[in-house]
Amino acid sequence: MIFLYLALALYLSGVAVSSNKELSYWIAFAASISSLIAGMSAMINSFSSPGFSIMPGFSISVGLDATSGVFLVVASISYLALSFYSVDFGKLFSRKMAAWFNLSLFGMTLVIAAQDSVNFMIGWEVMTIGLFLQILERKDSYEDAFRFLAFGEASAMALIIGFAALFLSSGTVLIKAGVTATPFFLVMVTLGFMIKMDIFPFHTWITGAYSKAPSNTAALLSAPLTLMGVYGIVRALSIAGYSDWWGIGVMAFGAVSAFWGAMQAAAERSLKKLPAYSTVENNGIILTAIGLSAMAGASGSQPMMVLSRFAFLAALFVAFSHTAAKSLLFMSVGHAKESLQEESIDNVRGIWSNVGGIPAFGILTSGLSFSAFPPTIGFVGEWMILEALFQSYKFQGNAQRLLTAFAGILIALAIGLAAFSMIKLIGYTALGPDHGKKAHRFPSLKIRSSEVFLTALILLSGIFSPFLVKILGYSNFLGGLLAVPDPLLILSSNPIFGVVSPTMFVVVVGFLFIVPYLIYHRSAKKARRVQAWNGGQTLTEDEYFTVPAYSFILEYILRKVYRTKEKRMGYTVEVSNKDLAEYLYEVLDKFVRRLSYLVGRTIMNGKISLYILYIIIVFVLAFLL
Amino acid sequence: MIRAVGIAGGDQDKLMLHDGKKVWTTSEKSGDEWITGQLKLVADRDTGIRGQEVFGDGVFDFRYGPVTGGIIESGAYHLFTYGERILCVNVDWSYKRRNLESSAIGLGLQDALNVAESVCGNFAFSHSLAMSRAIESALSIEISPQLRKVRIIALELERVYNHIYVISQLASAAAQKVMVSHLQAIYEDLLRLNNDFFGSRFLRGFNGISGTTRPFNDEALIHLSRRLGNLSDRFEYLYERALESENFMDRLHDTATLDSDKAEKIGVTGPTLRATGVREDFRLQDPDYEGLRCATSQMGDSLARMEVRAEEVFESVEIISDMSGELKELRDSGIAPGAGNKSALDGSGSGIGYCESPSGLLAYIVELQRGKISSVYAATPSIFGFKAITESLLGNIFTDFPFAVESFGAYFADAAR
Amino acid sequence: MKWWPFYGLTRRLTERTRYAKDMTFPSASRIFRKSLHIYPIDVGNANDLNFDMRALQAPQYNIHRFGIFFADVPRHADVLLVLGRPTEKMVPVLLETVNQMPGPYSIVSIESERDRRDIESPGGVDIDNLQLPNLVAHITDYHEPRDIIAVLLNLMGKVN
Repeated sequence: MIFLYLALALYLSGVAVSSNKELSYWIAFAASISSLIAGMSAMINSFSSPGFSIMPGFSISVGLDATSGVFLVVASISYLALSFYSVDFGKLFSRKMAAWFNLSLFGMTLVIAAQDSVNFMIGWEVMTIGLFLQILERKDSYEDAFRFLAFGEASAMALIIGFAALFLSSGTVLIKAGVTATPFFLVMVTLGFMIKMDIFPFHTWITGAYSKAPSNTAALLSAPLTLMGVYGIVRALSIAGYSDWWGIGVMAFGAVSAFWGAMQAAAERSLKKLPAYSTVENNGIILTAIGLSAMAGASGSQPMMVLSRFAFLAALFVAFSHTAAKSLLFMSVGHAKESLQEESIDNVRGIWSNVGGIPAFGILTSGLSFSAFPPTIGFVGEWMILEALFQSYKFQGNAQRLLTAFAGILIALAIGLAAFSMIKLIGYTALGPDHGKKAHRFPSLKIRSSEVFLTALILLSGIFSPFLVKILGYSNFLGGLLAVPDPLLILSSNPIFGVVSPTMFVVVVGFLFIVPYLIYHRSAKKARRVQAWNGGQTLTEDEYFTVPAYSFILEYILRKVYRTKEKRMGYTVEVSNKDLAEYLYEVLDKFVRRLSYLVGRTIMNGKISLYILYIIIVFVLAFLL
Repeated sequence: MIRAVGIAGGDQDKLMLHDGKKVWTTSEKSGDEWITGQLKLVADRDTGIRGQEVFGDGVFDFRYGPVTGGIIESGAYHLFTYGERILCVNVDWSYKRRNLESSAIGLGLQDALNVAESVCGNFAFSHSLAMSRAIESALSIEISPQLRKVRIIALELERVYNHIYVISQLASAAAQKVMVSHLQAIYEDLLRLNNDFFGSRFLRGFNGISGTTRPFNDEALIHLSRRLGNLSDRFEYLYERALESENFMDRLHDTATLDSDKAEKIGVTGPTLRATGVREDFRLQDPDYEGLRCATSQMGDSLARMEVRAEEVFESVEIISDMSGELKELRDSGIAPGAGNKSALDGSGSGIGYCESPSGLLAYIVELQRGKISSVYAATPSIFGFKAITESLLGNIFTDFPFAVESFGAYFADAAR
Repeated sequence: MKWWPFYGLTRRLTERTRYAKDMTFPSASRIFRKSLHIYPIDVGNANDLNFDMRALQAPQYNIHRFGIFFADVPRHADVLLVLGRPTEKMVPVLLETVNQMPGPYSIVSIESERDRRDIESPGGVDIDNLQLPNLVAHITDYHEPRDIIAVLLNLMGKVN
């Protein structure tokens, strides 16, 4: 308990001492450690502060239970790495950044710790505003920052309506299992949280905001912020209970979102927009898993409860892997971006040699995690979601079966496309040929340390994922089979449906590949090295295969979905895609403009009498209500 | 010094001549932009062709060559693209430049013919024929009807094996393995036929000024036309079945399409022009080719070019058969082959010679001084073929590349000289 | 529907000629006894050698029965067939191609007799002056594909 208070207090003091950037980030780091400890202790023993009554029926408190403890631990790992990273990285940006950084972390911690809707909304708004102010850091980012804010406030509005409905039905502002909830509450808060999770079609703001924001902010936007949405949905579900229709609806959104994010990422050329769309994909996968969990849980029979629990475990794993890997990805990408001062994937090639091995390895590890490459944690998470979806035959209803099967197809496609886009990102940036671009040097010891920390975390948590399953309290999904000793095998169902053991994978691969390689390496003769074969000539600078060319064939085949346009104007050519979801907002935008014009002409047309009448009517209405 | 620029269509009246400053033409198109375009084309003919450059995000130069498994000849294609779509094509044949025109200066006539044959081995007889016609025209030598007919046989044989080669290359690009093997068998048999009757697989060293370097036996030629007829039947059998393969046809159909206006503007001749529906062939001007059908097709795509080539194979086989028969008739009626005027070989003068090579019209312009070459210029069909390739490839995608390039029958050796 | 395999078999296209000749150069490494991958590189010939490379793939010769195959890149090849007399611009390209060959490898230079004879003062570079490593044969009197097969069989230490 004390650590939670300490963390919240430290974040606030971090805002206060922001005149000293470095100190402010150090305080954020200390606060993250404190919140990590708080989360860990909550996983063992939940605790709660005494209620503080502001009005009759309005008793507010903070506290952590096992669920929020897990989420706080996951988020704190990201805070920890990001605040340490920002000690060095923050030097490139203004002092205000440190204040807003601390402020948004305070908001997020409060969201998780809130036990009532008032605290929750305070945390929610502080977090949104803190991040909004961070996006404003760069020039010409007003439009993107305001788009972020607009979506943030839309989310807040939906949440306020939802919580109001909850208050009406239960008579309390508490948000915990046991209070009576209506389906309307569930729909509204789900909408609010889905907007925060960048679920299709509420994701259009991400490309602008992620790419304009400094990388530590982008990491906050992508990893912990969307995690708050996941946490919110899990919390809302614990209040409202499992229901079939909710599961179906959420799963449809999740699966479409996963596919859409992966598809857009595959065609993306910008260094930070690609991870942005990957966020959409991963949150889609998480939402699908939660939806499946709810659908299976709603039936209540024993085998379905097992499936429900496994799907929930999958959601937790994907959420954890996404938070860790996306933080690392944005950190490494930001490191490279600031070193080379470039935006597009094409122009930051050869990070390995011109920026350094650590950021390159960070991009490599996180990219492999998103591509579901064993033994990373991402592999375990995505294996789990697919295994869960494969069990669609267990459902009784045809609608559930069909939907689950289709969701499985979309998720499988999404994972495939994610591998496609991540290979693009890794292949061009981390491992690409160095074009001799001079990297701009800045102190980066702490940046590197954070990158190493998360890289190790992704690999180790993947390798030792059976223990992670145990810590999360799902020991019934562990077992042993044949030569694999007991807790090292993860089972996707009970009785056994599918199994995987990343630990044994590492042992076997290590034995089969690495040992022979080492033996070979000792005895091998010195190899003659030649340049890549290219028609008998050295590749010149303008002959390298470019990033747009890598994905053009995909864009061309799916040109109806990508809205691919090939334009040729004289000497210049251009290929452009457009996210279909943007059309929706264009229509909305047009409608609002027309409406405001109409309203403006009829009411605020300069006639003072009409205007007074309008004020009186509004006043009377407000008074009556 | 007069130089040939280009030939629009097969009509020799449209031959354009220039000396670097002035342009002479008998064409009604004189003085228009066509000439300016041709001048530019010929000015760069030692290095290659550059297309309209493009810029944009992600546009890069996909170099194909100079050493690749796909194109055996040493030359490079630069395909500018943002991925798959071909936006601009540069062709670079400078790797193949051997300065053969200048190395012919000062040579005797037969040696000069040999140099002409070295320009492009698979068009060796066409080059030799055009050069010998230019020399014979410069020295006003009349040649015997027998020689004219033997030359036609050799020229048509060259056309047959070149066309079969092109079709087998197209089939190979479409992975029609069985067809490729059978076509290659026919192709190898044709080359052996050349060797048996003319002493060289590529018909080199046979042609001479006002005669041939080795005696020809018209009895044997009858035998040749019989063997050729057999090969033609085998080809027809394969070709008819190839046309039924949708797989194969689909790759050729609508690939690298060229319309007749564009083809004429480029100045391309031969099967490429005829595949756009234009009935132009230099052989139509030649009285020895009386009754030439002159195969044409309308679509102007790779498929149309293949159809024209296949039709020409059948027609050439018929021509060879007719010529062999006519040669026999000439002998039977007792007309001896004239030896030609040997004393004229030491003369001076200048002349132009043409012939319809397998890929289009080939022209030589020579100047002689006392029996030695003092100037030579070759207008080869491949330069125009490459120009057509660069124009027609635009907008196509990479996978169409072999189907487009092979169907034009343009060769770096022929263009680079 | 045509039974193409039977059609092919009944035609008996593969000829039974003895290609091997006595050669003065030693055969290459013993590892090529069963299979040999060749890569032709045109360095400026008159294109007839290139046309003969296609003819070499014809069923009459059926080089696969000897274990001879065409490679797609020099990196997969055991023997580099240098076709023609190198033009000056092709010399660096040729050297780079040789550099890409995996060991053990051999280089065979082939020039058509006619090309050498016809040009009294030939341009380009004499391949013997390039001091290419492992240049085992320099054929200057090339006539037809069986000349190449003879060299290759000799390299493999084979008599057909």
